Amino acid sequence: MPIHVSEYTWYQTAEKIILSLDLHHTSPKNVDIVATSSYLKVSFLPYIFEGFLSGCVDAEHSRAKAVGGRLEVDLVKEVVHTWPDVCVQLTPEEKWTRRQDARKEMEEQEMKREKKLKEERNQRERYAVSRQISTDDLIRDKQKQMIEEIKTDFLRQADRKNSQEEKTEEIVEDIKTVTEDGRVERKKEDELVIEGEGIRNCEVRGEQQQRRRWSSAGSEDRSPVVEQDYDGDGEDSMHYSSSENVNQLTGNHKVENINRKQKKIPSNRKAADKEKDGQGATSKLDKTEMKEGMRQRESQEKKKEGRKKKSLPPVRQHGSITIRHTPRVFPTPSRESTQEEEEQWLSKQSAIPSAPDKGDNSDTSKALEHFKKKAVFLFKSGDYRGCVNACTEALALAPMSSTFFSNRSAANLTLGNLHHAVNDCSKALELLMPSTPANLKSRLLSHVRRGTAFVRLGLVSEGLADYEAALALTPDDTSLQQDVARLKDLARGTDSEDESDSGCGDFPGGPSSN
Amino acid sequence: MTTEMEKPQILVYIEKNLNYSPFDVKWIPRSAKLVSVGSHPRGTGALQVYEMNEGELKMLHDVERPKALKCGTFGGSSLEDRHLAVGDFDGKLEVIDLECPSHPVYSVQAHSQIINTIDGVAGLNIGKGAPELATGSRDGLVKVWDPRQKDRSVITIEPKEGEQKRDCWSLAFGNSHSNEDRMLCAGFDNGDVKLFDLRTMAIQWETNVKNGVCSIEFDRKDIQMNKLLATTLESRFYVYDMRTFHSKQGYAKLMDKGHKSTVWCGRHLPQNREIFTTTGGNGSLMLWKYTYPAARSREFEDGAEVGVMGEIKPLQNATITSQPITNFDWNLDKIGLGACSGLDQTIRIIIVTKLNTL
Repeated sequence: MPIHVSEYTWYQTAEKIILSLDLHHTSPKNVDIVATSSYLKVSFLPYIFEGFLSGCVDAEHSRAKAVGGRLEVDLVKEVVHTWPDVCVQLTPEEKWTRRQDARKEMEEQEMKREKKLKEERNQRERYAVSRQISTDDLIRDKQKQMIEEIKTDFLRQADRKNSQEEKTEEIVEDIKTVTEDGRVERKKEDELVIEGEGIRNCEVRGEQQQRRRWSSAGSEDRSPVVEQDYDGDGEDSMHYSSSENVNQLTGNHKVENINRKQKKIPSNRKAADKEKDGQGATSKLDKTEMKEGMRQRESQEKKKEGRKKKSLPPVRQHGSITIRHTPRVFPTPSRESTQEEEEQWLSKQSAIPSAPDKGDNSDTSKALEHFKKKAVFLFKSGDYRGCVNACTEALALAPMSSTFFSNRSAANLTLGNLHHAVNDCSKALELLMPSTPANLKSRLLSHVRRGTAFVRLGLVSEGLADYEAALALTPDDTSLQQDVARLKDLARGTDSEDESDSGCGDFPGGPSSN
Repeated sequence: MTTEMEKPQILVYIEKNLNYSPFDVKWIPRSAKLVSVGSHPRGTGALQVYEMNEGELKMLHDVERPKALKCGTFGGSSLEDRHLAVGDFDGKLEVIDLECPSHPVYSVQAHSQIINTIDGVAGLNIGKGAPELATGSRDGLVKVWDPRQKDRSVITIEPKEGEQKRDCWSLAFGNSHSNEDRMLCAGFDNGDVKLFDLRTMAIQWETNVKNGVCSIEFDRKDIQMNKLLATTLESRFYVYDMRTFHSKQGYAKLMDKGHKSTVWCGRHLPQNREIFTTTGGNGSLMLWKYTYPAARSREFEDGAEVGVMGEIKPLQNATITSQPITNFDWNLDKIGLGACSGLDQTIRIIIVTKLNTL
């Protein structure tokens, strides 16, 4: 229970009230002061001083000082007037309300202070960010500038070099100098004009020199001086790659060059004329140049044509090449990332025909099993008709089963119903698509059976096709290879007899239970 | 920062938005003009000639062809003529004179389906022998044409009757260093790469790279074949050393990855065959340099020689758009100038700096 201190001294100036309290030997550290606009509480436990001020004070600017064992509180008056008394005496209820008011005021003050701090912090952050942005912008602008400079340099290089070349009029001389070491190094750099309509004369010459200069040598240190030949036959440059061409050009160079120049100008002028925004004043000049060019061209053309016809080799003889692709089931392009998925899908596909009735009721599946066993049994015991019937009945239950088609075809083949056998084999092969390693054996058997049937029917080439397909599936089967060889001979007609040789040999032709 | 600036920089110089999809861009040789071929939204072909002028692409010609165009090349015509050979979506091959684009110089129904790729050799004074064009199509056939022979292809390359046909996605001529020698390399969508010797009319070599082959190019057409670049799906590309052939091992190869997406196109710099650029499905361009090993071949177990691959180093990587860049063409006359077209219906002129210091 704190002890209320009631004795204090005070005096006032025009603007301030100075209150003095006895600290009763408490250290200033333990003094806690709460001041609002009309309430003052100083607590220095176990003592407490509470003063309900008669007027309003500015708590922000009030100060407190501990001096000589006493506490001096300077309260700044809000309104300058003389106070009759510092504190007023109030009833307990009034005191209580005053205290509540004071507390509220304090809370408000706290909130205001916090807000202020937050705002300041925000401002500081925003300022920092804006500075960062401006520096980033500066950097980016600098980079852009640099890039623009690079671009203009790149294109300007060409202009400079080109104007140099206009001065060197001697074409032939230049070509000769190209082959010398010294000159080459001088003119290593890029030199083409990037400009509009005007095809400059020197452009053509320039390129020729340029091309010869640059070899496509792979050396690191761009010394095209020694044109490195990787194939040792004297040709490694980009365009005019053969000595033949060089001779041609040096010999007829001037004539051809002029020709080309003249030819080019008319052709490009034509293009210019087609433009809506024509070249205006220069067009007249161009037309006369054009005419001149045309005349010259005609005279040169005949010469040129003769030359052209001589230089081009004749049209090739017709030829064809057959290729074989890596097999791929899917029509889509192959990608490594989908490889796995595709293989999974394929394996699922091949699994389905062997167990078609897993989803159905067990009666049908049992019946099919029964039929399968029956068919095999009947075949083995020689009752081929019965086998066919069994297979047919089974197919009535499961029309999409390749096994029964396959078995029925075997039976039909043995019976001699060759057409039926062929049909059944074809059906079986259809159902065995897509081709996977799982149904390899079935496909193999179907191919062999169908091949046999074809041969027996006299359609040797179809039979051969089937046998070759079978051989492709199992390339290491020697008996098959022999059969294929024999059939090839047959097809060629060298082996006239023995058409009925089915070629089955010792290959199992019976029904399969897979 | 200084080391960054010393590397070759890939910069976009001009960007041109089009109102059709360009499928191929090609520089017109010996000029600052380029041709872009593509397909209008209504299915007709677009053929436009642009010219670089004062930092802009100015359109010179705009021609509409009856059917959408897929690919084009100047490689099969002489330097004076500079005719453009184009393949369209219907399988028709046409050789067009840009002076008079509505009347093709040569026209033939080459394939039954879209011509995916076209290449020419011995034109433009590159390579020796007769100028020829090769077309590859979705119908699985590869045909070689001589513009002097009408209606019939000079060579037909197809699978046997009844065999499976795979789309041919890319073609490249090479080894054209004499009148008789010529090689044609084809890439298919199932990953097959087949090299045909057109002198002996036989398959020289075939391999499978497991991913569809988007583009194939020899580093030079007119020398004995040196290197082959094949770019595929799944962000892979392969470089083969074609100087040493082993009967079982084939050609030595080097695989690398880039772009984290389909590598649509790989093109060697005409002025330096060790440098090439690849374009990717993520809209980026990468510049690569190949360095040769100390010895280009070594002895294999069975005593025969087998090739040794060198190293590939990426020089620069620049993402210039968000859509795939499908085609790229280097300018033959100015080193470092290139043009590319993308699926975002724009063509861009690209500058690659400092290539002459490499």
